[in-house]
Amino acid sequence: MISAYFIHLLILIGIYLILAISLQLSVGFTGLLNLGHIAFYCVGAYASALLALNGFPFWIYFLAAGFLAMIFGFLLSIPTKKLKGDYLALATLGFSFVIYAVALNWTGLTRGPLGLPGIPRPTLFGFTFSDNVSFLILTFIIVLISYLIIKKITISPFGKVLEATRDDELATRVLGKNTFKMKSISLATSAFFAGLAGSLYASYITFIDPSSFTLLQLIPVLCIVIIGGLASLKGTIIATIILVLLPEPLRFIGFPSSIVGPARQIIYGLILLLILVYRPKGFYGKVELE
Amino acid sequence: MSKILQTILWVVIIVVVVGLIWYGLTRKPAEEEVIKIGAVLSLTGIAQNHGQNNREGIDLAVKEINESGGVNGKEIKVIYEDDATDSKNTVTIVHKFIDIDNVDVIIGPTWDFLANAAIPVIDKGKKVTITPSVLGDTIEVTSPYFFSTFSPVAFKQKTVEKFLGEFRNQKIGIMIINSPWAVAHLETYKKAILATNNLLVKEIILSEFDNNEMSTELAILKDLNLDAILVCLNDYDSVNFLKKVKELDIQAKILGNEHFGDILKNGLLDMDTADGVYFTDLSLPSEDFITKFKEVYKKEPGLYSDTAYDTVYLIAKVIEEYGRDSESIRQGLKKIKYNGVSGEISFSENNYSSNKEFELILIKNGQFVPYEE
Repeated sequence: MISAYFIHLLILIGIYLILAISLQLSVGFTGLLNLGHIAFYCVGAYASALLALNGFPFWIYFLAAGFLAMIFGFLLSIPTKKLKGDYLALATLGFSFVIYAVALNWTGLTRGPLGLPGIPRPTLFGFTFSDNVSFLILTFIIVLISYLIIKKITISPFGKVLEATRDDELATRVLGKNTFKMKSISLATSAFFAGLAGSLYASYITFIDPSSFTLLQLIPVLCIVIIGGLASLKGTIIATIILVLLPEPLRFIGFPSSIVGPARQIIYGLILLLILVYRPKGFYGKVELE
Repeated sequence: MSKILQTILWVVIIVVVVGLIWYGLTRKPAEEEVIKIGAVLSLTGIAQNHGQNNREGIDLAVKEINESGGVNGKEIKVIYEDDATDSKNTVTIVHKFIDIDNVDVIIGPTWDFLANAAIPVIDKGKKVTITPSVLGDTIEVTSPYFFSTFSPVAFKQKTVEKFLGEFRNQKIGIMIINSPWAVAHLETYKKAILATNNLLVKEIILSEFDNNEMSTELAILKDLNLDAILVCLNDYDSVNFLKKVKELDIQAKILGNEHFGDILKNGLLDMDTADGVYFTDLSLPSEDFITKFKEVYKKEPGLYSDTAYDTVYLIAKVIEEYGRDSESIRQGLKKIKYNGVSGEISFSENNYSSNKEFELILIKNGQFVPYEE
């Protein structure tokens, strides 16, 4: 019998996998340094939680979470269409702060800092995913579908155009491709899957508040994408598993209580550094981050 | 990257692996002979000051209990886990305590939103969890297994009324951060203003948990010529607020929360800057506790150190009197009255400490002076 602790970790891996492979689509395959991903995750989580708390069925609130995040992704792509690199990163970072501020201050809708408690677990065809084993199965079905769709996108002609846009946008435009449209679709698709991940997170934890969607929450996802290697889904999967599980063995090292927190974080950081020393492009990276 | 650095990094990895093996080899025999407490605290991140204060109180109590023979002849062992003030980590750690470590009882989490995320897991795992630093009425998710040894914010109302008692029909302003704990303060402050026939003319909610830039907000409050300002802020905001009040020469009387006392005790701000300011806090811990604490840590006990210390003694007493399984501990906590260093602890229907009153304290000439009418 697998312990509930391990099942919990597998569920977290599943949620992070959806977040990371979707971020890989915009960052790794399209070259958009998108720091707004956590905002799409937040939009999905809140949309899903509010609809679930108002009695909507799972398939509606789950898809609504994805589509609402997708709309935000598309809207974000309009004002940022001419931005690249650091400037795009700053603009999308600003978007994250806006969404966080809305979640924190629109108390009539989100209850602000008090958060949304009592979010129900999903029910599908009369079956409620109330225990963590069934929720794990649901999560991995969604992970598999998400992976297959994103994989299909990346190997399709459309995916090749995304990669061409990443490598040389001007040349791609000279070849007659509408790179703005390509980037918009990429960002919106990436946001759609982040919204789905947010919906899964809200349904799993059953409580959300704005503290779960700060910039600090984006850092591990971005680390996964970089350590896995840009434009590599295989690397992203491996990095997700390693980065989510890595803090767990460190918990079993007996540090003195006065340094237990910082010491574990230092070791965690050093291990990540070591990986990047030996694999500067990440595990299976095809391109370098500019 | 030099070979030396690479070697150092590999050494770190080897230490991790050896540590794991060591743990695996040594933990089993010890487990049967100890009372295991899991402490899920914010030892890093934005709540680290309070998490570290909790830890110091816990360590001191455990040392004393173990030196005096333990609980029913068994030593207490605390497994510390740092959630880095991230609710996702809090949930993971609670799972670990329940499923892997099989602890007898859990202490923590440090802050309210962390508790809200973890309580469903605590409830499902039926593991008694006692927080020394989350104020009972800031919890949005309830469980019969979740207890708080700190008093609820609502208990401050009488103390705030005492502060406002000398005013009538005067202009009062409120400034708080945007957190469940501060929102509970806002409600309590509003009730006290209404009860003392004063007028709330401005209410400001800052956007962040801490480290807010508040110059504009304070300029607005100054322009209103308020008679008093009631605030609820975290540590660094409290420092910032008190410095700016002095810089801007704001003449209104100031009432802060327990963090005012904590930043002064921790030396984050000098007493002169805060002279003439009031704050609410639980009664000061007993002299005996302060002396013992100073001997070990060479400093004043911080906020929530005393309640954390009491929480360990409370657990020890309940296990001694009622038994070690979770249900016995829960039943015992509902019945017990424990006179600790932070005051008398007994639990209300909602599982928060129901016998502790807040005091109104004035900072005067470098001293904390309990206010007397």
